[in-house]
Amino acid sequence: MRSSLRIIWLLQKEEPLAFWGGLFLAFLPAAAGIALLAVSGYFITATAIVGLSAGAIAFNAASAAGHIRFYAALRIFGRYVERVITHDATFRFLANLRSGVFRGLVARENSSALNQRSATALSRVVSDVDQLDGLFLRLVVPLASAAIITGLTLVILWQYSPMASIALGAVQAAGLAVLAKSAGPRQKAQARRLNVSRDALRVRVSDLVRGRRDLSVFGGLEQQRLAALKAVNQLDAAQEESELTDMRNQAVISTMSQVMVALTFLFAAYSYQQGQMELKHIALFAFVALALPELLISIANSVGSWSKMSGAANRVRSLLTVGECNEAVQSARSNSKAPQFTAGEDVLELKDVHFAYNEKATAILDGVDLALPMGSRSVVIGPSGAGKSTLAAIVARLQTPQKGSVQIGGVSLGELAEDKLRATLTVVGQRTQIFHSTIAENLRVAREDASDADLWEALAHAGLKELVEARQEKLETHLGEGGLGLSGGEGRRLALARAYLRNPEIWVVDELTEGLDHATAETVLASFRAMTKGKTVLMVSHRASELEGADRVLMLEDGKLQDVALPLSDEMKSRLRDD
Amino acid sequence: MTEKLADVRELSDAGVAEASRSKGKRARTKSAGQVWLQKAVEPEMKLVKRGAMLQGLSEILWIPQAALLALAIAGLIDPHGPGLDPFYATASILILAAIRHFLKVRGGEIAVRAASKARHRLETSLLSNLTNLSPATELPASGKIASIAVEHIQAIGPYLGRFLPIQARLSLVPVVLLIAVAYVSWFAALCLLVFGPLVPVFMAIVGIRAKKASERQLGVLADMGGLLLDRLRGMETLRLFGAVKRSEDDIRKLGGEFRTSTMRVLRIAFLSSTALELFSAAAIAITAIYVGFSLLGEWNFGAYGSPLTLAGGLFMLMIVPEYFAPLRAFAAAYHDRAAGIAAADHIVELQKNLEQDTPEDVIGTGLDVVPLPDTGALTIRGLHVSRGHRTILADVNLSLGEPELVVIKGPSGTGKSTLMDCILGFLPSDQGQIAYGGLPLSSYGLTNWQQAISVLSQNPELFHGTLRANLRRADKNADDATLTQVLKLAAVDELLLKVPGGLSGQIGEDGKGLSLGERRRFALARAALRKDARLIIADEPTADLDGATAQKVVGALKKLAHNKPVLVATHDPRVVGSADRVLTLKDGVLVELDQCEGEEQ
Ligand SMILES: Nc1ncnc2c1ncn2[C@@H]1O[C@H](COP(=O)(O)OP(=O)(O)O)[C@@H](O)[C@H]1O
Ligand SMILES: Nc1ncnc2c1ncn2[C@@H]1O[C@H](COP(=O)(O)OP(=O)(O)O)[C@@H](O)[C@H]1O
Ligand SMILES: [Mg+2]
Ligand SMILES: [Mg+2]
Repeated sequence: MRSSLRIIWLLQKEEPLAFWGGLFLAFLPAAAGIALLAVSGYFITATAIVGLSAGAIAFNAASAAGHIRFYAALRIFGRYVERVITHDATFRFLANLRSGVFRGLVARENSSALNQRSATALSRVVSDVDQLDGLFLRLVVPLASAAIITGLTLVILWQYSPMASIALGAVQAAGLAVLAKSAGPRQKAQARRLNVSRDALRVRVSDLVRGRRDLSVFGGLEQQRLAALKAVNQLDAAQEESELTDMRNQAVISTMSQVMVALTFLFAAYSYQQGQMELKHIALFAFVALALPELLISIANSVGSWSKMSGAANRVRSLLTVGECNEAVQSARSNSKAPQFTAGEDVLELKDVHFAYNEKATAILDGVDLALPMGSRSVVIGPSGAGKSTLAAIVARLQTPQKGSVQIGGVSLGELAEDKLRATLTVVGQRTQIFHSTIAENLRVAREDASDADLWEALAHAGLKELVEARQEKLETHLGEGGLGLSGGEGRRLALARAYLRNPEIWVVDELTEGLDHATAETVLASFRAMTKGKTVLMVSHRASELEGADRVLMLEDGKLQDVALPLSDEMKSRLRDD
Repeated sequence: MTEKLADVRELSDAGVAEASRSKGKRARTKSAGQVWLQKAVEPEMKLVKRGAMLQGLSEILWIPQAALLALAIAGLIDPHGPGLDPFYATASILILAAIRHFLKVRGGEIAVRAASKARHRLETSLLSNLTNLSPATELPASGKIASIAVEHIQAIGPYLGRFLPIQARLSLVPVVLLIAVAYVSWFAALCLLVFGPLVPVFMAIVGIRAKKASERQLGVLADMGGLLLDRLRGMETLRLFGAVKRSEDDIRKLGGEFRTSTMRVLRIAFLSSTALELFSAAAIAITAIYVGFSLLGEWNFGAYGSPLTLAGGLFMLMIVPEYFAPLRAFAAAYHDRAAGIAAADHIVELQKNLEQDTPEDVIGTGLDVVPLPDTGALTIRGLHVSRGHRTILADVNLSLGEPELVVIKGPSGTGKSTLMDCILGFLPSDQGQIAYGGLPLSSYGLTNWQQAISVLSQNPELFHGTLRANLRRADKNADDATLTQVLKLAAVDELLLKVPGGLSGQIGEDGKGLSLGERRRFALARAALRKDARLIIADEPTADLDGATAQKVVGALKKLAHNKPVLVATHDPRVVGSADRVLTLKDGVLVELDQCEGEEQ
C-alpha cells in the first residue's frame, strides 16, 4: 500500500497537470452520465404529469431537452479528452520509471548474490512497470470520481427524500465493500503466485533458448520443457483465478445496481406515500440508482488486479530506492580529486586487502599487497580458482574488499568518481561479453563518438580487420546473442578492440590471448605491447608467451600474492602453458 | 445494415475456413495469426458460447425487471392507469436479480474456464516447439523469445476470455432488447436500429488500424525484452566502459516508443468507445425527448396508433442503456481482439522461424528411426560447410571408431568448432555426409544421436542451481559417490570444499560463482558422467587453465579415451603431445600431422 501511494505521489510530482486535470476531467463526464439519465427520467415523468393535468402547470420542456443534449455532449467528449490526457501522462511516467528500475538493477548487480537471474530482472523492468499503469488509471481515477459523485448525488437527493438517499448510499457503500474484499490476503497470495510463476516461466524459457546446445546434448531440454510447463500451469491457474474474480466482481456490481434500483424506488415510493416527496422526483431516484453503479464498473474490473499492482509497486519501489542510493553514492564521489600520475610513483596500490564472496566462504584474498609503479608491466599467475579474476574485479571496483585499501593515482578507490575511474582504468575481462547487435555498436560501447575509421583502426590492432572486411556487411554485421557468429578467439579479439578505443593510464587484462592459437596470440600480443607502451599494465595469465617483457611476475596462491624470481625457474614454467 | 451485423456474427462462428472461402471479394484476408488462433480455440468455442448465452439470458431478464419498475412508477403517478404495488414490484425485481446473478456467474465461469483451457493449450504447443529448435542457428534474442512466451501469450488471454464471450452475446442481447422496445414503440425501435448496427461498421473500420498499432506495440515490447536481457547479461562490460547511462537512455527511448505505440492503440480504442458513447447518449436523449413530447401530447406517432403511456416511456428509457451496454463492452474489448491477433501473428512468425531452422535432413523424419548401435565408427566424407557466404569447411574427411584421443588443431577461426557443431547435428552441411555405424546420422533421429554424445563445449552452459543438479543433467540417476568420482577425474573436486554446501551448494546463472577454469573442468566432469556416450567431444578443454591444472585435465581426457573415442579441438601442445592422432584443420581441409610435419614446432 505504501509503495503504491509512493508511486502515485511520484506520478503526481512528475505530471501534476495531467494528474489533477485528469481527475477533474474524469469527474465531469461521469457526473454528466448520471445527470443525463436522471434528467431524462425526470423529464418524462414531469411531462407525463403535465400531460395528465392538461397543461395546467407551466413546464419548460425546451430547457429540459437542452439539458439532456448538454449532458450528452459533455459525457462523450469529456471522457475522450480525459482518457487521452491521463493515459499519455501515465505512460510517460512509466517510461521514466522503467529506466529508474533499470538503474536500480544495475546497482544491485554490484552485490555478488548468486541467485539473481537476469530473466527475472527483466520481469522487473518490463512487466512490473507495465502493471503499474492501472494504479492511477484504473484505481485512483475511478475511485476518486466515484467517491465525489456519490457524495454529491447523495447531498442533492437528500433534499428530496433523506430516506431514499440513505438507501442509495448504503447500497453503494456495500458494493464498494464487496469489491474491497477481493483485494484481501487470499488475492495477495494469489498475486504472489502469479508473479512467481511468471518469473519462473521467463527464466525457464530464456534458459531454454540460451542453453539449448548443452541441454540438447545432455537431454535436459525435456526436463527444461517440463519445468517451463509447470510454470505455465501455475501461471494459468493463477490467471484463471484472477479472471474469475474480475468476472464475479462485475456480476456483483450489476446485481447491486438492480438491488439499488429496487430499494431506492421502494423508499422513494414510501416517502411519497407519507407525503414527504413530490411525485415527479420518483423517477429521478430510480434513474440515479440505475446510473450510479456504473461508476463502480471500472473499479470492479481492476480491483482484482490490485494485489498484483501492489506487489509490483513494492518490487519497483525497492529497486528505485537501491537506484537512488547508488545515485547518491555516485554523486558524493563526483567531485573527487582526479588521480595524479607522476613518473616513478605508484599508480595503483593495494594494501592488506582481504576479500571473501560471503561470510561462509573461504577468503579469496587474505592480506594482499601490491604496488604498481607508473609504466610498469606486471603479470599475476596462479592456479585456476586462486582469485586472479577476483583481484582484477576489485581493482576495477566491481567488487569491494572487506578490508584493506586500494588507491589509484593517490585517490582512494572508494572515493573516486565513476567517470574518472573508468577513464583511468580499463579492464579486458576474462569472460567476453558481446551484445546482440552490430560489430560497430559492440565497439562503440567503449566510445560512443568513435568514427568508423577509429573502429577500423582498433580492429586492425586486434587482428580482426581482415575478418570484418570479409563479411558482407562489414562493421554493420549483426552478431547473435552471446557473440554467435564469431569463433571464441574472434570474440576475444573483439573485446580487445573495444578496449583499444579507450586510452587509459592503467590496463588490467585477464587472460588476454586465451582461445587464440600460438601464431595469432603472438601478433595480438605484439600489437598489445605497442598499444600500451608507457602505460601501466597488470596482466593475469597462464601462458608463457604473455609473460615475455614483464617487469615483474607475481604468484597468487592461497590468498597471498608473492613475487616470483625472474627468470622463471623450471618449476614455475611447468605451471604455465606454453601454447 | 443488418447484413453488417450478420457479418460480425459470422466472425464469432469459428468456421474460419468456410468464411474465407465463401466471402468472395468481400473476404477480409485473414492474417496467419488470426487463422491460427481461430483454429486453436475451436474446441472450446462451443463452451465459450454456452457461457456467453447464459450471461446473455441474464441480461435479457432486465426486460421484466424494467417493466415491473416502469409499471410501479407509473402506477404511483397515475393511479387510474396500469400500475403495480411498489412493494410487490420491488420484491419481484429482487428475485429476478438473484436469478440474473446466478446466471451471470455461471455463464462467466464456463466462458472463463474454457478460454483459459484454450490459452493453456497454446502455451504448451509453443513451448514444445521451442524445445525442438536447432541450437546453432541465430534466433531472436532469448529475452525476446521469453517475452513472446510470457507477454504475447498473455495478450491472447483477454481475447479469448473477454472478447469472444462478448462477441457471442452480441447476437442475442441487443436483438431481444430491440424487440422489447419495438413492442412499445416502433419509432424508438427504429432509432435504436439505426444507431446499433453502426457500431460494428465503425468497429470494422477502426479494427484494421487497431491491429496494426497493436502489432507495433507488441513488437516494441518484445524488442525491449530482448535488449534489456542482453544488456543485463553484459552489465559488467557496460559498467567497465561507463556505458550504463547510455543503456538507460536506450531504455528510456524504447520506453518512449512503447508509449507512443501504446497511445496509438489506445487512442483508437478511445475513439471507438467515444463513438459508442455518442450513439448511446444520442439514443437516450432522442428517446427521452420523443417520450416527453409524446406524453405532452405534442407528438402522436410511433406507438401503433394508441398514445404512448408513461409506463411504456419509462420502460423504453430503461432499456436503451442496456441495449448499448453489450455493444459498448464489445467496443471496449475490441482492442483485446486486436492485441490478441497481433500477438498471434508474432507467435506464428516465431513458430515459422523455428520450423525453418530445423532442417529436415539433420533431424530425420522421426518415422523410420533406427536404434543406435552401441559401438560403431563415425565417418565424415567430403563435408562442406559455409557460413555467411564464406566457406569454412571445404572437404573434411575423418573416421574414428576405436577408443583413442584425436586432436584437431588449427588457428583461431579456422572452423574447429564448426566441425564439432556439424557432428553434433547443430549445423546442416551443404555437401558431404556424416555417418555412424555406416548409416547417416539422420537415420537415428537427431535427439537420439545428440544424446549419445558427450560434449564439453567451448562455452560450457551451466545453470542456476546446485552443483548436483547441474551434473545430473548428464545422468539423472547418478549418486553422490559417482558425482564425486567424476569431479575428481576432472580435477575439480576442490569445489566440494570451496562451494559452501558441497554438492548441494548453489551456483548462479551461467555458472556465476565459479572461476572460468572451474566452470570448464566442472563441465568436463559433467561430460565424463555420461558413461553410455558413443563419443566425447571437447572444444578447447584446457582454456582458462594454468599449466598444472591443464596437465590434470589432459590426464582425464586420456583416461576417458581408454573407453571411447575422444575428439578434442585445441592448440595446447600439452594435449597435442598426448594425442594418439593429430589432425590439422587448414583451409577447410583436415590433414594428418605426419603429412605436414615441420610446419610448426
Ligand atoms: N560470485 C562469486 N561468488 C562466490 N564465489 C565466487 C564468485 N566468483 C568466483 N568465486 C570463487 O572465487 C574463487 C576465485 O575465482 P576467480 O577469481 O575467478 O579465479 P581465477 O584465479 O581462476 O581467475 C573461485 O574458487 C570461485 O569459485
Ligand atoms: N553464424 C556465422 N555466420 C558467419 N560466419 C560464422 C558464423 N559462425 C562462425 N562463423 C565464422 O566461422 C569461422 C570458424 O569459426 P569456429 O568454427 O568457431 O572457429 P574455431 O576454429 O576457432 O573454433 C570463424 O571465422 C567465424 O567468424
Ligand atoms: Mg580467472
Ligand atoms: Mg572454437
